[in-house]
Amino acid sequence: MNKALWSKSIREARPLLLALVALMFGFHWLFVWLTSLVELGAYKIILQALPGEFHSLVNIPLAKLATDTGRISLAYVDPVVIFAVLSWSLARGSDCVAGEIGRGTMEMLLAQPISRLAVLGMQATVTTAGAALLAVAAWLGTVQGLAVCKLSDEVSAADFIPAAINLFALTFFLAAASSLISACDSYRWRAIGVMGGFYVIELVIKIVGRLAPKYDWLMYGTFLAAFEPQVMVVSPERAWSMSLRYDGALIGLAAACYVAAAIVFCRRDIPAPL
Amino acid sequence: MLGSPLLVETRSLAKRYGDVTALKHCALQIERGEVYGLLGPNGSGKTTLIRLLMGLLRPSAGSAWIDGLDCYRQSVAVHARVAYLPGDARLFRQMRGREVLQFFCGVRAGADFRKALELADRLKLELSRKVSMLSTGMRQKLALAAVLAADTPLAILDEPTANLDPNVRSDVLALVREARSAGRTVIFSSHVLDEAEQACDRVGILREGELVHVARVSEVRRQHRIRARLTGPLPQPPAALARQLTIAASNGGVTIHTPGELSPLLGWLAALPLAEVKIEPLGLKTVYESYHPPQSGNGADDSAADADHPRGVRR
Repeated sequence: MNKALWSKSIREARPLLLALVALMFGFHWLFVWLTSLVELGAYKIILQALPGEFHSLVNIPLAKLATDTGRISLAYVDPVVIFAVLSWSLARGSDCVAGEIGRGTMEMLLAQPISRLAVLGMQATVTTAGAALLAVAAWLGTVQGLAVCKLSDEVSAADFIPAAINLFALTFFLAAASSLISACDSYRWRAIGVMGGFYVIELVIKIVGRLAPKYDWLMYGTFLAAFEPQVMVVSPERAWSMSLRYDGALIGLAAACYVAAAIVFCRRDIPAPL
Repeated sequence: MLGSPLLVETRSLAKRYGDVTALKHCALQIERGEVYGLLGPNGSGKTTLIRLLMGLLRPSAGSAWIDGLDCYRQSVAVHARVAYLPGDARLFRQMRGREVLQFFCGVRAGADFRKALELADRLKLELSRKVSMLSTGMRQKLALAAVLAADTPLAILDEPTANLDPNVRSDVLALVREARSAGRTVIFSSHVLDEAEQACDRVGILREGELVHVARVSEVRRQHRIRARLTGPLPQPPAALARQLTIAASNGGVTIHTPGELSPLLGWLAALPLAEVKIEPLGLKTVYESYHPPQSGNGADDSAADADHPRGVRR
C-alpha cells in the first residue's frame, strides 16, 4: 500500500481520533473516581429502589451490580462511551466512499494508479486501528482510575479486558456497516442518517426484547445482543466464552460488511463531483 | 494495441443511465503523440467518454482501451499511463498547496515533485495556502500542476482552461504543446474552439452522445468556403477540380467548399459570372457550427445543419 495514501488517511483521522481517545481515557478514569466517591451501601439502596426492568435492561443480577466491579462495568455501556463509539465509526465509515465522492476528491484519487480496494482497505485499516485505540484507551482509563482511586472492593483491571474487546468489536462492526452504506451511496449525510436510523431501530429491538419476555426472540434480530461488556466484567468465569461468541459474531458480521462494501465499491460508477 | 500507433481506442462504447443514453456507439481512435480535442456542448457526452476512459464509469456496452489495456478491468494499470485533470477538479481541502503536490507525486511512481514545483511556479501558485482558502481558478491551476507533473504517455484534460484567466489559459495551451513536443498524447476537452484549433491535431465533435465528426485541424485550416451570387448559370468546373469541390446552389447563390488549397480554383472562379463573392477560411468554428448551430436547441436548426453534414462520423 502507498505511503502517501497512508499518511493522508491517518492525517484525516487524527483530530477526531485524538479527541475521542482522550474522551475515552478521561471518561473511564472519571467513572472509577466517581464510583469511589459514592459509598457502596448508599448505592445498594438506590439500586433496590429501581424497578426490576432496570435490572433486566442492564442484564446483571443486583448482587453483582452492587459491587465496585459491577458499578465500574457500567462505564462500558454508558451513553458517553456509545456516543464516542458511534462518532468514530459513523464518521469514518460514512466518509470512506460517500464522503470522498461528496467532496469530489474520489475522482482525483481514483485517477491515480491506486485500486479501489486499496482506497477502501486503507480507510478500513485506519478505522479499525482507531477502534482498537479507543478500546485500549477505555481500558487504560479504567486501569488508571483503579490505580489512583480508593475503592471498597478489590477490583482487577484484567476483568475489564473482555469488555474492552467487546467495545472494539462493536465499533468495528458499526464502522463496517457504515462503510457498506457509504459504498452504496454518494451522499455522506444520507449514509450517516441511514446508519443512525439502523442503530436506533436495533437499540429499540434490544430494549423491547429485554423488557418484554414474550418478545425475547427479538434479541436474535439485533447485533446489540452481542454487546454485553458489563456482563463480561461481572462474570469473569464465562467472559472469554462470551467474548468468543459475541465478539466473533460482531467481527464476522463486520468482515461480511467490508467484503460487501468492497464488491459494491469496486463495481459501482463514480459520479462526477456533486 | 501495445506497440501499435494507436494509444486510445474505443469500440462501440456506450453508457446508459436508465433510459438516458449519455454515450452511444463511440468508436474513437487516437494515435500516439497527437493532441486530440473533444468538442461539444454541455451534455454532448465529452465528460462521459473521458470518465469511461478513466474507468470511473462501467460501460453499458462496448469497450475502451488505452495502450492495449481495458480501461475498466485494468484501470490501475491504465492510470499508471494516464494523467487526468477532471473538469471540476476537487482537491483535499485540509492540505496546503505544497502538500497536494507532494501527495500526487507520492501516489504515482515516476511523478517528479521538482517538476510539479516548477509548474506551480510557472502558473504563479501560492503553495503555502490551504486548498480551502484558494479560489476556484487557483485550485484548477494547482490540480493542473499536480496532473502534469506526472510523466505519463497520455494526459486527459477535461476543460483545463475553465475558470482560468486569459493569461493562464495561454500558459495551459503552451503546456499542452510542450507535452506534445515531449511525445505525449493529450486528450483535450473544451468549449473554446479557438483553443482547440490552437492546441489540437485532430478534433472529434460529439452531439447528443454520439461522435459525429472527426477532423484533422491542419486540413480544416486549408479548407475554404466560397459564397457567391451569380448573374448567370454556374458553368461546370474543370474535371480535375470537380472531384474536390462540394457545390450547393440555392436562391441564386452558390456555396462552394474546397477541401484543399485555394490557388487551383482561382482561375475558374475569375471566369464565373459573379455579382458578389466572399471567400472565407472554413475554420473549426464553421465545422463545429454545422453540427451545433448557434442558438440551436430545436430540431429545425439541427436538420438544417444536417443538410450539409448528414449524421454519422465523417473523417
